[in-house]
Amino acid sequence: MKFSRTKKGYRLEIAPGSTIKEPIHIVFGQEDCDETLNNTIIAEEDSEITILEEYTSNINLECRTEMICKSNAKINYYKIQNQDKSASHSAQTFIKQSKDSVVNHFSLSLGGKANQETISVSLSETGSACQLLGFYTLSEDNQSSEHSLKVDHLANHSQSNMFYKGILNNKSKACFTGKVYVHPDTQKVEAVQANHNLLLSSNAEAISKPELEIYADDVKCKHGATVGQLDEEALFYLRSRGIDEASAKQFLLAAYAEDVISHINHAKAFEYISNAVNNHVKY
Amino acid sequence: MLAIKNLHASISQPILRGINLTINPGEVHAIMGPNGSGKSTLSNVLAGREEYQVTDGEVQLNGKDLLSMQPEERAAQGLFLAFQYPVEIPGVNNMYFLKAAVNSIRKQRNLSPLDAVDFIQLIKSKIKEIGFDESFLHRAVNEGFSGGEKKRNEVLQMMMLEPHLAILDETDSGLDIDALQMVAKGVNSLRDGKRSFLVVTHYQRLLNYIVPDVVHVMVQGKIIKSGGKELALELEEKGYGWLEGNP
Amino acid sequence: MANQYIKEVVNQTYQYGFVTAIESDAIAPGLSEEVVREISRRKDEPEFLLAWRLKAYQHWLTLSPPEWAKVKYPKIDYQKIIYYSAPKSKKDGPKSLEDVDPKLLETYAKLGIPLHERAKLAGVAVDAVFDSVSVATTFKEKLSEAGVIFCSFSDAVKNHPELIQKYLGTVVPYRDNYFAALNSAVFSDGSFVYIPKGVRCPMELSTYFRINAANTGQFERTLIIADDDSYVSYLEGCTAPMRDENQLHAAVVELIALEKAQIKYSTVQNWYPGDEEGRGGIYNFVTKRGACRGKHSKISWTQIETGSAITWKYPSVVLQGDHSVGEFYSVALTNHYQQADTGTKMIHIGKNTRSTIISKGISAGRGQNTYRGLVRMLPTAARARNYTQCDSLLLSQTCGAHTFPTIDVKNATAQVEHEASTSKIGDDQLFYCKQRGISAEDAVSMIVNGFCKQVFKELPMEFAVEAQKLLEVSLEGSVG
Repeated sequence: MKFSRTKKGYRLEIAPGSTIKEPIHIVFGQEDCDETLNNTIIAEEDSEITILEEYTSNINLECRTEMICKSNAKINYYKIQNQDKSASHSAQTFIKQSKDSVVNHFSLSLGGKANQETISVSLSETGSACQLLGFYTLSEDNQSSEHSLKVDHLANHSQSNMFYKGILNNKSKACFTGKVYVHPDTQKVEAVQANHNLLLSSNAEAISKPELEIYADDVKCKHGATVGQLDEEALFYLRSRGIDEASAKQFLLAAYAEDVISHINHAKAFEYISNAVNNHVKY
Repeated sequence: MLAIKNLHASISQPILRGINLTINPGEVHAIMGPNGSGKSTLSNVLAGREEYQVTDGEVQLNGKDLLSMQPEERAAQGLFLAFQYPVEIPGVNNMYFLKAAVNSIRKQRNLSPLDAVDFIQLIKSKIKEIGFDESFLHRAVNEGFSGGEKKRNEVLQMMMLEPHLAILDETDSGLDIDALQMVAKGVNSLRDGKRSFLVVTHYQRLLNYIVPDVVHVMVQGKIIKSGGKELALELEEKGYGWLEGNP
Repeated sequence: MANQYIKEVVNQTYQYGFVTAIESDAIAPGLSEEVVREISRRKDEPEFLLAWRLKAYQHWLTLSPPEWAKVKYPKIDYQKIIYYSAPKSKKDGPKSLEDVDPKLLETYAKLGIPLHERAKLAGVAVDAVFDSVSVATTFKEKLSEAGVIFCSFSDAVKNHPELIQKYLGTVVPYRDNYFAALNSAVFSDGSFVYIPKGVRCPMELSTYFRINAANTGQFERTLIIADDDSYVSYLEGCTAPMRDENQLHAAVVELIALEKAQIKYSTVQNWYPGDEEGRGGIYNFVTKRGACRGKHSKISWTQIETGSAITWKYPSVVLQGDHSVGEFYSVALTNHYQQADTGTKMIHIGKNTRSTIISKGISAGRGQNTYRGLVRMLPTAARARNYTQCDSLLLSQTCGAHTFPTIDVKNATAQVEHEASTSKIGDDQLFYCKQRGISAEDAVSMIVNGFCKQVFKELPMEFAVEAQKLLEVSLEGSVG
């Protein structure tokens, strides 16, 4: 593995055939970075890597990340955006995948004033698969998030799964746009898209645009989106079992988040992110 | 009725490696064998599923070349396959589906189509026999059916289409004893001395209710032993192992 | 009453029967303020309507054609269109069935349309009129007994100007979009319906029964008002497909449901789709919208779209009244080179408003089929609900199926659910049908009909049967 890091970002290269089980933890705190970051991750053939990236800075950040995942390689990438509530975070991620490669991308947005995230995935060879998971929570007035995801299915037997959930409180606003694009002559594609939002305040606004654009016939695609509130029925059930209202709500919110987080299959990353979410999600 | 000679078939790799089998009118044959022996492949090849390639051999049904026919022509010639995994067709109701099938087969046999009244009378008498109530007619084909309901629906279709040769592909799998008896009752009601059956099964249990004339054992794409109904009991007791080493 | 009506019909035929009258009754191609004034003058319209047309025209000049839809077509030269000619005379049509495109007649035969109706639908100038006069007359009598107003838009302007002035453009303002502005400036005729308080319209209203309604031209306008506690079911597009060679259709439909009123609007659209190579065909650019103004009101759109080269329409509902209900059921089929960009908007304003969207898109050949939808819950829409399901069925490797929903929620007690799927007909489904003796073609049409069932069951009975047959005809040749 080759790793180099400056204030302008990092570059990570995993040698062919090597597997690095322990997550590489990279923190961009106040002292660690410039306003503009460029990160590169290259996983060579048959390699596997897990990255835990964390943003805690209180300055406005713009970062551009490029991931190249070669044949049969696997990248587990977990990102925690927990910047100061006054800072904005803008991220652009480009992922290119070769034959039978797997990318698991997880994005957790906890802080920041305005959070913008654009992810673009090219499944350019047969059998490549990506999973884009996300959880966002917005609790301040005028806090906003915008997630724009696009997956280009350019090869047969490619698979994608987008699953984003969010909790919105006070006068916050979240916008999710997911696009699955199945190019002509691309067959046996499977794609799933889901976006669910929980509104805790009538001043909050959630916009969801799950889009499918399909130019082939042998594909299985589905998507779903919901906007709703805490399940009153469940809340009542918990309270009737003696749990006070605040705890019951807390319990349900945690369960709401758990639904996405439980898809993280790296035990250490799961634990870390789980803690971060539980410390943050408050009713 | 059915004459299979040296049948070879493959799906990316050879599965049937020279099947020979003759079923006379009125006979019930059972094919037993371990998983992966090619039993279901045989059923599907006979019904004309396109994924399978016949690489050698011939099959005649009532003296006609079966392998050159389209699946729907085979159906019109009287071949019926009760599917191992009956397919769901959302939005298409059972009655409509069956009427289309019955009349389509009648048309291919140069018979006039059944009108709605005759058809409803016929199907109402049959659904009782198989233990469905009338609401069944308005449900979509196999959609949301339990495993047992699906298999009973296969037998109901068989009763409606009155085939010359019925192939039951693992119709017993996943059935509880009540459903099994119901299925067997339906099949036995169709035994009339002329109609033939090919019962493909993994377990001997079904053969207590549908008693076969001949039992074949299939291993690795070949029939390695044939005998009377006692053979099934012997298999139940000893498993397939004692035969496999000794083809 | 009967005599009166026959007289009207005879007069109309007479009036438009003059060969010279046709020549003199058309305005030269092109659009200008003068043309708009001229249309209004010839129709002898009240001042308010002219003023409204002119405002619409001025606004249209500031707009450019929408480009966001997923459809491609050559630029339309709006100065080449004739914006006013008297309703097409029967003399313009084919003289007998022998003059009619045999393919069209074949389609009618397949749909099981009786011979005398085929002639009428194809616009043959035969005296079949008298057949329908009797029908139309009994029909008119029944309606007037109930107090229902059902007439051409022009007649409504003459006889009920106060209703037109009160409601016209209140659901689809002329500022709404490019085509709505154009229509508002130049619309020639259309249909008008008013159902008085407490009246349940005694029959399904269909333009089929209105002589001449089939030829109202490219820019028609429909306005339906259901007063408190009333009910009406309106069928558009006749009970059978129509062939029309006009290039551009920019119609506007406005529905208004007052307290506890219900409007059910069904369309079977089978305009000329162009040939197998994608030449010709109608551009169907239509703005349809309903307003549930009253509490507990309900508007339901059902559409079967199998025709037109390009379909651009989004029948929508604005749910203003508390507890009001909006529904959209759609089947859109594109074959050959057809393009459809269709869907709906459900705008929830009132409390406890509910909407349901069921959309079924079928793409075959090189057809491009897009569902585009918007569900918006405004801050006032407490406890509002929406459920959306949109499914696409793909029948060829060269077709396209696209889904672009937008959900925008600004109320924390509102709930929106959206589901969509895209699939093809399973090989196992086909094999299962074939094993039961059903041919591949029949199996496909059976499966396609099953796919559309949720929508078909919303159609009036005769319509549903026809819609099924229409799908079969439209899909012919698309099964390999």
